[in-house]
Amino acid sequence: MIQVDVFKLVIQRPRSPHFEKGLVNILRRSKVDKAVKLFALDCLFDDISIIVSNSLQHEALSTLDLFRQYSLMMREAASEGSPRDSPWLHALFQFTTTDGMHTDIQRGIFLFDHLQANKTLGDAGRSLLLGEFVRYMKRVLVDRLFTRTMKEESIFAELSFFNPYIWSDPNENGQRSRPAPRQDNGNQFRDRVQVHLQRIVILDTLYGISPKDRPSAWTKVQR
Amino acid sequence: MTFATEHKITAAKAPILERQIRRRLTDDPTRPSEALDVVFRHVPEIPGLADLFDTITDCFLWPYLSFGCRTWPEGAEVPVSKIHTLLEAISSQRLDLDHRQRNTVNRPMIHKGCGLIL
Repeated sequence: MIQVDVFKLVIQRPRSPHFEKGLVNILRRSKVDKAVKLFALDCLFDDISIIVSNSLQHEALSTLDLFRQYSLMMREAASEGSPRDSPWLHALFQFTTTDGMHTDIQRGIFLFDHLQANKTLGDAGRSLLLGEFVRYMKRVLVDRLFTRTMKEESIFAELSFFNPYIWSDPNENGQRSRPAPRQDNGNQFRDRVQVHLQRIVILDTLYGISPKDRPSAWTKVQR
Repeated sequence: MTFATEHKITAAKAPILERQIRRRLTDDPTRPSEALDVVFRHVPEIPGLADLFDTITDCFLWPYLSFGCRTWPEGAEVPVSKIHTLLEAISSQRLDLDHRQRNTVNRPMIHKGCGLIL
């Protein structure tokens, strides 16, 4: 039933200023259906900088935990060997398998638009061989996960409250003081360790994707 | 007592309505808006609309709001205003149900020699 709240938030126009906070609350506090959860997490991380910019330390930590869940679910979806046997992927991507060999993608859905923009869908229209469809779906998901993880990494690396060497408060003259190691209390230290570990797990999830499923652009960046 | 009877009626009606909606969509999948009208016609008499939510999600939400989609498509057969009304109806029924459940007092049963049994 919590699904109702997710859909209500997403289709609301103009978008509520509490959109991100609302989604975070739903995802943190309730057990949500798998397809709806990935749909909601994907909406939430359209722009991670918005969520993190006005967050308190513990909220940022909680966002990072959700990002870790997001990356795990994206990898799971991308690694699904037989998407046609997964009801949650059927719901999420709205495809139908016609004769066991071909997959029909509905016009107007994300995957259709993406493939059409890249001129992958030929004159045959919206029907693809099952193997082709699986390959393209993986590619799209892995690409998206890669871009978003890189963005998340750069944002969290710059967050002053998790980095003892960045001191962002201005001094008495209104100027920023030199970066210097900060005095931590126990909680801050624990939070920093947690953030550090979460970031490692997120990167590990990304790089755990089989090399054959990685987009070629990614391989070039790694070289 | 009344609540229990209502609940039984709801439980019996919900699957019938679910079948009705599904049949309508299968018979004529090009007219989901009309199937949604069936749902609306039953909103006042079926307090357990929430029980139908899986069907409603499959029939009316996922086809228009799948992975990566952020807005309701302009050319959709079901107008977004109807979806807003539907989601509001489900939410208010849920709030009403929560409220009624909170107001239901469970009388603790006392068992001789064993103390309180919940």
